[in-house]
Amino acid sequence: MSKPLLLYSANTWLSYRIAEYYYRQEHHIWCAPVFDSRSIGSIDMVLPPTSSPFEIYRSLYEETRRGDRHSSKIATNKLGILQGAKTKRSARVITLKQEKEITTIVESAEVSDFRPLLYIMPFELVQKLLIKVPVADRAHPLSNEFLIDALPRTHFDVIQFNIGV
Amino acid sequence: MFEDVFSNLSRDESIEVAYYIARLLAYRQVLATKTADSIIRKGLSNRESESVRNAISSILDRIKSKAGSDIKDLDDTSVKIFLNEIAELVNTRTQEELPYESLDGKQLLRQLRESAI
Repeated sequence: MSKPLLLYSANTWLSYRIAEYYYRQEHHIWCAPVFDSRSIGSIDMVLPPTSSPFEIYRSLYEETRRGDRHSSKIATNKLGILQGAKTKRSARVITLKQEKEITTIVESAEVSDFRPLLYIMPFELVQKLLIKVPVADRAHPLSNEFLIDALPRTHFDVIQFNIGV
Repeated sequence: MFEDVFSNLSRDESIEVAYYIARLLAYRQVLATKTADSIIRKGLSNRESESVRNAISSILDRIKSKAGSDIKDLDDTSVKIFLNEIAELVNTRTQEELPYESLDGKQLLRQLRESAI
């Protein structure tokens, strides 16, 4: 596969704000070189639905719009934020008091705080930060997914858009 | 259904277990071609402890037994039920060990919102 121009990542407003406020504007993200795998014909670009930034965005959009308090996507995002806070506290990026604050925020958050945001970043700019997931560990053998542990805010754009349902 | 598994874990371990279970359930459709362990490793920054690995396996076994199907065949409603139960256990554990006031949470949330660009 040739180098992509852009990488995409779907996240929640809450996880975005927590990284901005507590993690020195550094964001831990999963990203992919394709926004919507259904629009790509090549088998090289296959992504499972759960990994497609569009699918993640769409699910979060619909569930937050419905105000679904028992949304599994939101529950998963909450656990991801708690796991992130624990990791950051272990790495001494934040204190125990700050971890407690993050936990409090997550528990007090409203459904709308989990609305989706799309991050878009130029591949060239973040290339050195990418952690390619080994084939054995990918969700799909043919998928192209990357992990970025600490993506500076200066390296990506954030957009929010409505989806007709 | 999972209380006894979580009661043997520290709070940190509980979060880790719940997080990996959530990831695994999100990726369940590709489990036909992948092992649970390979999915669990996805996104790990540190290798999980033996107790975390055992707890994950135990929870997966219970989910399979309760649902009467493989993890990869679970429907969305079942996933939602299992995931919410696990998340609730983690919340309870967190509140016990890292107590917070809901009023503080609202205030902190307001702070986050107001500091947004």
